[in-house]
Amino acid sequence: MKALLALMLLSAPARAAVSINASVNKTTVALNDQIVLTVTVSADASSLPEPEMPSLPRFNVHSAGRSQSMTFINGRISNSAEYTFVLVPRLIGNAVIGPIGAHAGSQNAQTEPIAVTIVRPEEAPQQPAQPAAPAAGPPGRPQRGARTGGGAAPVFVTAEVDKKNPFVNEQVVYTVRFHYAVPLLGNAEWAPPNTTGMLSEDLPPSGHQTASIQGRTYNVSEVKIALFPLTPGEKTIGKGSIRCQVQKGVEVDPFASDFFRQFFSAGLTMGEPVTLETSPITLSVRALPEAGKPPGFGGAVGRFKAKAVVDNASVKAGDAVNLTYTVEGSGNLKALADPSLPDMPEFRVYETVSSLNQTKDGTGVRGSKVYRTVVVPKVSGDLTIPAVQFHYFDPAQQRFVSAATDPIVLQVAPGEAAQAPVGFSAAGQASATAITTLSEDIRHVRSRPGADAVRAAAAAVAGAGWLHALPAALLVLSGAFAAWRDRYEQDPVRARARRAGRAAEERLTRSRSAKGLHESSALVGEALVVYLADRLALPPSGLTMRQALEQMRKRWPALPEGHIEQVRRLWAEMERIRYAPTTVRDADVAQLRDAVHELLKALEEATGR
Amino acid sequence: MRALPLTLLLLAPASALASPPPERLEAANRLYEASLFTEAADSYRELLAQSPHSAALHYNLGNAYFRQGTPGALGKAIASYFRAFRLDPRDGDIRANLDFALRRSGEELAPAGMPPAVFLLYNLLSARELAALFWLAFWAACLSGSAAFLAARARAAVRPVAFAAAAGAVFFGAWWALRLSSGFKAPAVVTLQDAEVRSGPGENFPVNFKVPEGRRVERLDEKGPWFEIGVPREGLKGWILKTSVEPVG
Repeated sequence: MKALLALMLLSAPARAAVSINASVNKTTVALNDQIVLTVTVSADASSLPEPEMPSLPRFNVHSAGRSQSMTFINGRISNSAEYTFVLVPRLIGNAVIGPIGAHAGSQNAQTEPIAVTIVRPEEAPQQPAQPAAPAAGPPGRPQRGARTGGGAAPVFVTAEVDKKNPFVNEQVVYTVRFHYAVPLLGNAEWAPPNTTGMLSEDLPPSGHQTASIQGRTYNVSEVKIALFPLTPGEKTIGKGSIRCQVQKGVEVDPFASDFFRQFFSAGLTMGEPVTLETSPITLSVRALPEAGKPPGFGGAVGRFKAKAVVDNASVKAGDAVNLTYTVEGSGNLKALADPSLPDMPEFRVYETVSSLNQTKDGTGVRGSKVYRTVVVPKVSGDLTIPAVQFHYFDPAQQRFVSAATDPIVLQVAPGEAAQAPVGFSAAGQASATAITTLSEDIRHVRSRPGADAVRAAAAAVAGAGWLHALPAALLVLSGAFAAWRDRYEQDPVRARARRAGRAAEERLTRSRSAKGLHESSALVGEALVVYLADRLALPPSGLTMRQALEQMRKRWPALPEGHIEQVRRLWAEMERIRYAPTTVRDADVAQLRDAVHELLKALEEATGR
Repeated sequence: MRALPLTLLLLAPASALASPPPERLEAANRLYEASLFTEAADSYRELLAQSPHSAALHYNLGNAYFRQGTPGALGKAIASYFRAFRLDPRDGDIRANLDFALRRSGEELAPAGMPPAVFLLYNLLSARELAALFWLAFWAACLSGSAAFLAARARAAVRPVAFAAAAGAVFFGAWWALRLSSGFKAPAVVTLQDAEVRSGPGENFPVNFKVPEGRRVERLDEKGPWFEIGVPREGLKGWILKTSVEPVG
């Protein structure tokens, strides 16, 4: 009968069905906000596949935790894990969270795409955040008949760890045992404890056992978790809980001779929900000792071995050799740092890729981490790949241990490139003369200042400010002047009138130094006649006094009559001097010159010049 | 009138024209080569106070910061390299070191998708050189234009010069305007690892995101001890303490 019950509780399905669903707490998010993506993976198997997240270029994705629950349904295990991701939007626009996949063997499942709109902070709707999952009801209080410390109750749960004073990063196995002496009417649901400050790895459930406690026989189901404390100090494993339904009032002894009668009659009775909680456990985590810590220690804690192999020990220079370096043992393999390979100047060493092979059992996590790289011998001869040192802390011995691989000797024959004539090596072609970059660094300091004066001059010119307005102002003034000058040159009548006064004064000046009365008086007469001709736009030759006086009255109607009379008088005096030169004296010419000068000045003023 | 640009140069502060004395530069370099990077950085800073336009000094100071390897040193190194790059974008060593340092903060000198040749051509001249060339061409165009207006007889000979200078002013002006409208206008470099950027200028505002040390950001505004910054690559903005960034402009 025990075997039958154990078989019912433990029998695994032939094909593990997997399902996945995803939900977000909001579909419109502001740029300064965030949304919570909840992914739930379920499978009726002991191990759960990890969700495969799609590329989310519009978000920064942060993992916010994982919670796992395990359900026992008539001997079958239903496993469910809920992954929470916080998505912080990076770019405004419409984003799509693509299908998230999960694969378990030949079974595949994926979620539907979720459309999310990312808006500016001021455009964000004021909507309350929707819960990512249906809200859970109030936790059931511990029920009568249930207890957490062991004893003769029909169901109870215990929790323990294999060590309470581990070192940092040392593996601690946390074991929860669910005892029940009655048939379970519903599904027993396991909610793991809070393990802040520790990495956790779920271990596979062990087989069902039976135990006799205080004269009562119990079925015992175990859940195990491997924990790795990250920092020294007090770390608390919180309360884990199991929720189940037991038969109310009537207890059925699965080992009694009338089990089937009790079992079927129990189906007619009501079930009673029971919530069992484990007690918190506090670990006192010790720091790794500083004494004896080797340089290059990467934090590995556990028990490990290291080995290195090559796929071919006899090659030609320039041929690729696959170097495989393996660390295996028990401990937190995921946290192992990449090995630091020794300097190998005779080889060109390419990038290292690693893969993790991890196995879990009831005692913890073990497995191997494999690092693969390609090395290419650059020269021929017997070349040695030096030993690779791997340091770890062994908590059992409480000391640091160094595991070294064996050196590997390669027999390298001259390669084709080395035998060929040395020449220019095009990019991408491997040859013995190719330059290998061993490391990258910044370039060295300058010992000469360079063309600082040119830069300073450029800065001075660029920073001259309002001084740059000067040429523009000059250009504008020059253009204005040129326009005025062009217009002036295109109107000869006005130009002649403008020049009249100055030309007449020049003639009067010349008359003072002229030789002889005739020439001097002629210049004075010319000054008056040409002035009037220029101002009245008349030809100077043949201009008569009558014409001049008529035009003056016509052009300048506001001109005082005295001015016109003075013109007539001087004109007559000028003709007298011209036609009776023998009676003329120097004083007459000088007097006439002064009178013409005064007249011209009066005319200029009277006509607005 | 044609001598006016030269006059402007003569009016420029003498300190701006001075290069660092070779013997003092050599002394600072000896400190650097003796791995006394803090002392070397002090010496370079003293020299920069006298020769602020020396790209070589900014470059050497960036090297001294980079070698220090202390918290904040990477950001200061990038700020110094960036100043050197803005002064002399044609210098291959400056570009190499700036790019090398930027990669440590998750950035690259050339924008993603831009061919290297285009980036080099676009940065062939510094913004100051472009401005200076624009103003010189502007002066030449205005002066030759004025000469063409005033000297009617020489107008035919001067006119091609004026047009060529005007075309040069348009070309360099457009290039300069393009440079000013693109890239960083008021840059700064983050000098604190995972510097917190908040949604407002105060500790009571929530932290929106964190910026790694060495990341170049744009200064948008300031209020008290806070800068409002934009992170062009991610399209984010927020408020950061002034003590967490070093302005470059």
